[in-house]
Amino acid sequence: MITVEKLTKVYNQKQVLNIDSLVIPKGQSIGLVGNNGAGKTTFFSLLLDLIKPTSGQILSKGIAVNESEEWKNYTGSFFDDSFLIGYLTPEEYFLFVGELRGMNKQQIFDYIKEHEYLFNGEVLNQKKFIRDFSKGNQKKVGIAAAFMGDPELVILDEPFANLDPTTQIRLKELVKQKMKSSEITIVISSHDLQHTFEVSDRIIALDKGLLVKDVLTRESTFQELESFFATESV
Amino acid sequence: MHKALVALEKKRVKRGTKKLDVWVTIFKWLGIVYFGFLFLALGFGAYPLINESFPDENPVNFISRYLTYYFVVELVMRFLMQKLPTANIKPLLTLNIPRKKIVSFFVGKTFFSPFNFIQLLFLVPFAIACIMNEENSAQIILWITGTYLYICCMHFVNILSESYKKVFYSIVVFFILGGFLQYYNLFDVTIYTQYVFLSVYHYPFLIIIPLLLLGILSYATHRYYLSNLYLDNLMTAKVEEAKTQEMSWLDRFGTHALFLKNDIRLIIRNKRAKTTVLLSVLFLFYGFLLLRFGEGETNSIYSLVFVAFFVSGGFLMLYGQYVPSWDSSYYPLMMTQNITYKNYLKSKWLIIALGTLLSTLFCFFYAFFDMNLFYLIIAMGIFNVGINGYVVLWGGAYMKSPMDLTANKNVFGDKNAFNLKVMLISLPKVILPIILFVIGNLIYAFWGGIAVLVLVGIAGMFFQKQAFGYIEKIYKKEKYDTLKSFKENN
Repeated sequence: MITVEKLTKVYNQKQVLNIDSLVIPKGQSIGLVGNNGAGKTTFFSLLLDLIKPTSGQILSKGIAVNESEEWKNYTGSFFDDSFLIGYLTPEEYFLFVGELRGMNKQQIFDYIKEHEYLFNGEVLNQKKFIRDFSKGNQKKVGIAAAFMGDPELVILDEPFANLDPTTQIRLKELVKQKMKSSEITIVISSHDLQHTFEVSDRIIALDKGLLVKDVLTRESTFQELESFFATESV
Repeated sequence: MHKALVALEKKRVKRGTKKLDVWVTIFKWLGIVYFGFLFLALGFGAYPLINESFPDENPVNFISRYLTYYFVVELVMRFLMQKLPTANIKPLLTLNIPRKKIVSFFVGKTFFSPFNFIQLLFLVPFAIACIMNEENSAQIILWITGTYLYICCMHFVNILSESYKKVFYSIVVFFILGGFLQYYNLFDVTIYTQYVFLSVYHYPFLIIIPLLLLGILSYATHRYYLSNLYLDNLMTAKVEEAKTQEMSWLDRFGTHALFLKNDIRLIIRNKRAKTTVLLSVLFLFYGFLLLRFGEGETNSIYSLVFVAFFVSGGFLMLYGQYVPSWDSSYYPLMMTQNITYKNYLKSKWLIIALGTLLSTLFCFFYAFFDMNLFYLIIAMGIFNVGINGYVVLWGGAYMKSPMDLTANKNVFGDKNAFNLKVMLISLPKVILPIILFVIGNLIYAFWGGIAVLVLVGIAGMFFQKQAFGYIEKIYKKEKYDTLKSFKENN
């Protein structure tokens, strides 16, 4: 699905990301972990062609993301509130994103209904614009929209941060349920090792821009991962 | 404690300036220096000039009478351009600083504005000239002090008018009424208002009036900020009840309908966008400002061309200019959603074209006044849709100042909105049609000019594919930069 080739990103002579090679096969769910400044968001921004790599490239289904817009067809993503349109109601936002993703109105309404449990009754029919929701509730809207239209690739930056406990648990359920399908590739970044471990097939750890650990969760234990970060002499 | 705030402020000024603002700062200071010299020259020259031109008038009386006009102009200028106390107060609220100090610092800070000092450049030399011409020096000093106190009052009136809409509206109503009466010579307001300034001259103890007024206004301003110095008052806008709007009648535009709907919601639900569009509606009546209609009145053909451009292109100039800045707060979404850059740009173009079309259609009423103007408006409308629509988008590629949608400070004064590059790119929008008309006009008079505009406009519509190909390339090149600068300021 995703192939990274000799990717580097340099800001003001400081290297923030350097991944020599990384292959993410279709259907895998990836947990990207790392401390602040590890390069998680930089990597994601490069994946979505929001910033330009200093060298190297990322191929999505074999096509470089900065050369073709093909990837937009099958990629859903949510980073932060800059992925939300503040002056829309959540319903309008879902309609906007859903229609762009090729769903018709009925499909969109069904989708909203199906994912209502994620909102915990706080998002729909509130007679409020997205800009007037709390950060956590805004996030619920964004995450729900990222999965619209059966994308083949979903990229979520820190989805668990700022979420209330109930929604954290439900989001994990959602990801796990999607993981069952071999059609969808999910890449999630997080500070939270526990959550990431639970919802990923594979954990990739970044540190200061370098890929320092790459393990499959079924071959590793959570304790092992934790001790890796606890010693932090990487 | 104040010291810490002063240090903070210094750092803010030093570190807050972005590259973009350099030109704004230069223009601002050029303006200040220009007016400074103007005031200084008037200050020295006014006394002898008045004495010479109106020998039976006392210069102090004369100035006092016309000060009213000046005050009106100044208040308007202040309203449009003077920055009000906006500061990042949030981190200060929980620190060990009394609220009163925070308020008095920030209100005091705004007072240090050229708007409050530039008048001294006139008043002081004028006073010196008066005294040298053997006026009573005590009276003169009191008079300028009083006048200056009134000027200071305006500073607070300006702040309060922003906060209390009632103050603002009553000022507007008062001025419109006064201006109307004056214009039709029904009633000369200045005959009465001059005594406001002159009273101090004749009865020195009356200086107490402006002093008291200033005190009250300053107190009111402090109290207003003090009682509103809470996060929910200063930081967040009022939450309004949201209604989901379907607008299914737009669905006929396919994918573009989605963007059309969004842009309409953008206009309806955001103050800044609403003001801009209202302003472009006002542009429709530009003709009445510049042209004279009526029997025996003729307007030069070039002023007609000019008017035709602005009435049909008001929306294009004011709203279109800020594409894609309108989307700045969610630009990453637009860049990752399932829509190609080309289609995104096309939807934006469609909005601009539809707006222009509507303005042009609306302006048909000018047919009742001047048929030539009517033909010109139609030709200009075709040109604006066919050519200027692209030009505006092209300029937008370089427009990298993010837009704070909720802000409605003032459309003119937004320091980020000014950009020399954009200015230069906007120029062809106005100049090109005028040149084309002139060329056509030389070949085959009026109808030649019309024909050239229409033909070029229609040709532009046929070259849509090429135009978008070119514009898309530029946008793609600028994309990363745009994303970065939209993010930096949001």
